[in-house]
Amino acid sequence: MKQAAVLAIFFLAAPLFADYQFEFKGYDVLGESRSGSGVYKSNAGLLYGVFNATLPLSPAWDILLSEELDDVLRLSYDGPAANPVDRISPFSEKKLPSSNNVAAGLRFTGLGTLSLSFKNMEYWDALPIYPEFLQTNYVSADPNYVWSGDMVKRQSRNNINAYWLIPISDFSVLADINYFGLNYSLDQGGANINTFTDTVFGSWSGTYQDLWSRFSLGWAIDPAFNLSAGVLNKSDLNDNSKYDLHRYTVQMKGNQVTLGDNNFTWSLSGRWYESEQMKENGFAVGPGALLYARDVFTLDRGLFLKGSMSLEVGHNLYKERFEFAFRKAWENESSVETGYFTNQGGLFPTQGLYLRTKNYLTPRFSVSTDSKSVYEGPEGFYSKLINPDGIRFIKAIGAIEGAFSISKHFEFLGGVDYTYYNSMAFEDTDFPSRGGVYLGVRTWVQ
Amino acid sequence: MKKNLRSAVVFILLCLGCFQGCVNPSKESFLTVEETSCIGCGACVKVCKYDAITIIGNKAVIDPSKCQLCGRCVKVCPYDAIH
Repeated sequence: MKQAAVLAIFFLAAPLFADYQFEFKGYDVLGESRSGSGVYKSNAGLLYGVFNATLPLSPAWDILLSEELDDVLRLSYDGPAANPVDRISPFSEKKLPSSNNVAAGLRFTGLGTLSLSFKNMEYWDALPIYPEFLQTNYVSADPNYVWSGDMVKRQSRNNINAYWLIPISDFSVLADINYFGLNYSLDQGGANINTFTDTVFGSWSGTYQDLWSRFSLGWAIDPAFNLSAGVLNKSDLNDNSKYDLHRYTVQMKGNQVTLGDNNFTWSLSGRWYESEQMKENGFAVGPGALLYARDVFTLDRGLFLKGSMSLEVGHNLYKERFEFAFRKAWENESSVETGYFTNQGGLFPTQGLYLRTKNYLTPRFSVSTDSKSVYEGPEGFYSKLINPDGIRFIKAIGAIEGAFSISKHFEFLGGVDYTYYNSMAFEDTDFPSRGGVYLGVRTWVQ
Repeated sequence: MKKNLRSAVVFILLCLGCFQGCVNPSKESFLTVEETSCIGCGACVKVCKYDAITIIGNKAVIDPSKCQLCGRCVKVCPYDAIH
């Protein structure tokens, strides 16, 4: 695969860069999904690789490079099934896309930080999408055909970003402008009225474009207290202002305030949404407020109790989130962390428990474990798509990873992981349960 | 007066502490991305069937004008940052 070769070249060229991060993993993934009497299985060898680097040209100018190959979400049902007739899953939505993401940029550090970058993401095996905002009436159909539906698939996504952060004394000004262009293919399906067969009677391609701009002004009254105001705009560049979006925010923030053994962070924000389409969809536009607070209490050396909360209120809107966690860290960087979180008042009210450990058995060899279970209560689902009664999901994750370092910044790693999703037949939001085993390397210099 | 105030405080604390989902989902609620949890990994971007999610400033931003509330991003997020 040429993307893997590009990653290998980057890896060999890594010493040229001032700082870099490289990680490459080869997976073997087994997946399984049940539907009725059918059991759909797959076994695929998948790759994950990421490389980020900075190449200094002069004290003020840097080149930024990034390449990410992500195959790991992919899962296709081409393996043996319980019933030969069911060798191909009827649920195309369970086929998840692979992607390759490459980015290059130029950064200038002088009057603040200015960067210009270009990013391209290629989608393989992309999901069909159903964007009502695309202009799908390209041509008039052949009179021998009766229209039976369009199939739109993402092909690639391009992003051009200009970012400028200017600190002036206690003030900071940020301008962040992003152009996104989504290239898609469109197959127009039809039924031939003479032969009674379905066919594709036309294939087209198009680009959906929008421009996101973010501007903000910040004032650091004190190192631990600041005020800011900002605006986030989305402009639809396809002559459809209905999909424009404007969000205005003002915020007060207390950052990392130390009170005895407590480290406290809080923020209070007000926001105002304006969007014709949001209003049409029934979402809360207009004013709203968000309160966030987090405290880390040091019980003993290396022993922490963490708690955070956020409340969001607006017209007909009240959402809350709480999280509590306990963490113990040792001098050799071994640690254990466990926590609980809950979200209420939203459309997807979830609760979850997690436990993460990292244990350095020797200075070179560590074993990490990660386990989590998440539950979504059925009472909270308000979907516009289909009958929401009784819909809920359970997700459970278990993973063990061993890492062996041969130098301070180079390690070999290997692990197993398993993700369980409960099955909801005929739900297009369903994911297959899957397990994987992987081997890889990780290296970084900062 | 003091008793009423104390009752109100106790009620609020108990309410916040029970997490039984008494707070009904509001019709006008939209998905929230927890900026403190999101690291901009982009898993949500890949699974979104409506092309409604972009990464801006290393955080996921959900476009309310495209989102159809299918919940795929909620399920796939490794950091449970979307709710």
